[in-house]
Amino acid sequence: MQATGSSHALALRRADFPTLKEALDYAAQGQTGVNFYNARGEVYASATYRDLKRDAVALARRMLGLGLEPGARVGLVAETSPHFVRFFWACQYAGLVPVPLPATMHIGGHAGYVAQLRGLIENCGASVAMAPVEWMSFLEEATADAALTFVGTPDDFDALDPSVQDLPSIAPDSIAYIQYTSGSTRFPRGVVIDQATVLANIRDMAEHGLKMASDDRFGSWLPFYHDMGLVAFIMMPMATQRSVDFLGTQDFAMRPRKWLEMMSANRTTITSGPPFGYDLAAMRVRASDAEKWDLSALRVACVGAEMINPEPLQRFAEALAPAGFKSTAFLPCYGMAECSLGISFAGLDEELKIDYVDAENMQQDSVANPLVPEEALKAKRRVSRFVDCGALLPSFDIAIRDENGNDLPERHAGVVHLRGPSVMSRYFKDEGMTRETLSADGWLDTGDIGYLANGRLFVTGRKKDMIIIHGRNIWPEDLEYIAKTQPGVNYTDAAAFSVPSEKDQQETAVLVIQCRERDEIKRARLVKTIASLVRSEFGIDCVIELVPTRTLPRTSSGKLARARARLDFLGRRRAAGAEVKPEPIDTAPVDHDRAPIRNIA
Amino acid sequence: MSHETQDLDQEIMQTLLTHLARFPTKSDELNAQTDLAADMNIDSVNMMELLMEVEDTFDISFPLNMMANVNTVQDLADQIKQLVENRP
Repeated sequence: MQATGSSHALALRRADFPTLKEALDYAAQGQTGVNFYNARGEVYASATYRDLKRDAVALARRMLGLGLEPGARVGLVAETSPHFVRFFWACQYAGLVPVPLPATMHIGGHAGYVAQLRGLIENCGASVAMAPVEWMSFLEEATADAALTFVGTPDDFDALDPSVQDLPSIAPDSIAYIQYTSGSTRFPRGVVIDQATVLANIRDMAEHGLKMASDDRFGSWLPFYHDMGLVAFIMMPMATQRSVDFLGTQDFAMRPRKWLEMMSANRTTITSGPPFGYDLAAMRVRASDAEKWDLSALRVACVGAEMINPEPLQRFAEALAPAGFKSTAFLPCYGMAECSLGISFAGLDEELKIDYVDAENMQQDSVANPLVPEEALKAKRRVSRFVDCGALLPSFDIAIRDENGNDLPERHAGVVHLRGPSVMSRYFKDEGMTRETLSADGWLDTGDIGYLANGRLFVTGRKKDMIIIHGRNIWPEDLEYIAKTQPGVNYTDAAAFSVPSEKDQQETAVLVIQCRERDEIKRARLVKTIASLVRSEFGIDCVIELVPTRTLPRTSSGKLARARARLDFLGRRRAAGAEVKPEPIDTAPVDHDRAPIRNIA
Repeated sequence: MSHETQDLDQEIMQTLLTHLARFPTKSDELNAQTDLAADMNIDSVNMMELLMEVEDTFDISFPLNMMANVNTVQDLADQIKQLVENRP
């Protein structure tokens, strides 16, 4: 099967459309489209936007035949497959709201996955849900007790009778999709993004972040239920009439070289991923591969989704230099689902820029005083370094604020607040969380800590309590919940957070549990059970520490103080001789950059 | 049970145990009843690597959803056997 071409006569329009459906109407006049690659590196499905529009319209009529209300939610198990893309666009034509659902599985993860699907479907109040046939049994289980209008595989939908009524007109302020920011089972947060909102962001990214041209071509392995996979690789290529090549996430995880092979064969110009993805690929590349590949066309390799360490990127650049990969292609960026996707992008065709600052000043006063690393070393000053995440996209207003909401000057770290046309309208059916995050005058509290210097944004800390491992967001509440399901562990007995791992620059999840049990065997069993539950639900290792009651710190209002619990944990480790190594200049400041969080919590 | 299926069982189990021996085990012994999630330090990245070895050795494609009901090494072996027997 042939992949769609990269160029066509249709004039490039950078997402200047009022709705997604109108964007597809325009793209359908050209010859570009979407292509899917299997683990052997062959194209197994390919559709031009013209084909896709035709199929999406036909499916939209069948869905409307179910008699759904406008804006009804459609849960889609988002395996990387042509089905998801067709259903996503069918929803746009039918005036329905697609909700991507995760398609991921860990060892023994059956019950956990079903609970996750059930939670998300319930939270978004889906009327309809689709799963590819391999995932259908889980979806059936998850919806067994819910009163959905229709649940089926793509084939089941294709057997429905089409409606005879006209397709509805779509308003720019209607909901385009709901994006769950984490796979959280018990605390799902559905980001509501309207048509005009996501298109404003794509337009901003296409014009300013990526300066897209008519010979651009996209390539990705990112999951479709991830904001970057969904917005940057399904919606953006379509809204700019470019071809895109997809490799399944599982296939990438097993055979990362296939991603590079795919990009070489297609002369891909734009790709993206977390630092972890580049690292995984660099580890598997053989010298003989790099010589036969051609990555010279790749002008943008976005890096985001977790704190950026330069080392994995350097390893990737070195391994792929013989294939013509240029390290200036790396494009650090900052973004989040609450802002549709992109917020800031480093400059195109520039090397990574790193800001070296005095670690003591940063820790004590949250001030980023620049210094020269060599001199600091001589003066025995500790150094923190932060990767330049670039200038804000022009439609955003930014404010860096202290814990009392006061604006901070340049080089002072505080909470990043953003306002602009690509900010979400709300969290779905969660007024409390919406009010906490989004002010009446439109400012979004990102929960991330950062500072500005010469108009460039430097992100120094995580979202308040979020645990990010391999680019995936894990809510501490979910890990704590697992602990609390165990007999003898009470509601206030667990705290989860992450600490830097010593072995591979990644983060390690930690669960501190207050435990009254004295029996060593029972204590060991508790640790083992919880570790195993965490592994089967999240596929991560977790350090578990049992501590006496009244160890976990609380705020004056009685809330768990996770940031302090984390510092206490690191203190205990240090005291026990499991020392936290002093950080050489060229390691990321993963420890002391947390200091500002303490002031904010 | 025919000799052929017995051989296949053994070959699959042997392949798995060989690959799994690289990872730390919490109990002393690695065997068919070892619980992959509870007894082994194997994260999702390593798991993907293991599955790739299995796919290449047996010329099968192992769909992720099949991990749902895999707990022990034996469970994994059973799933692989099913895939090998249904190989086109």
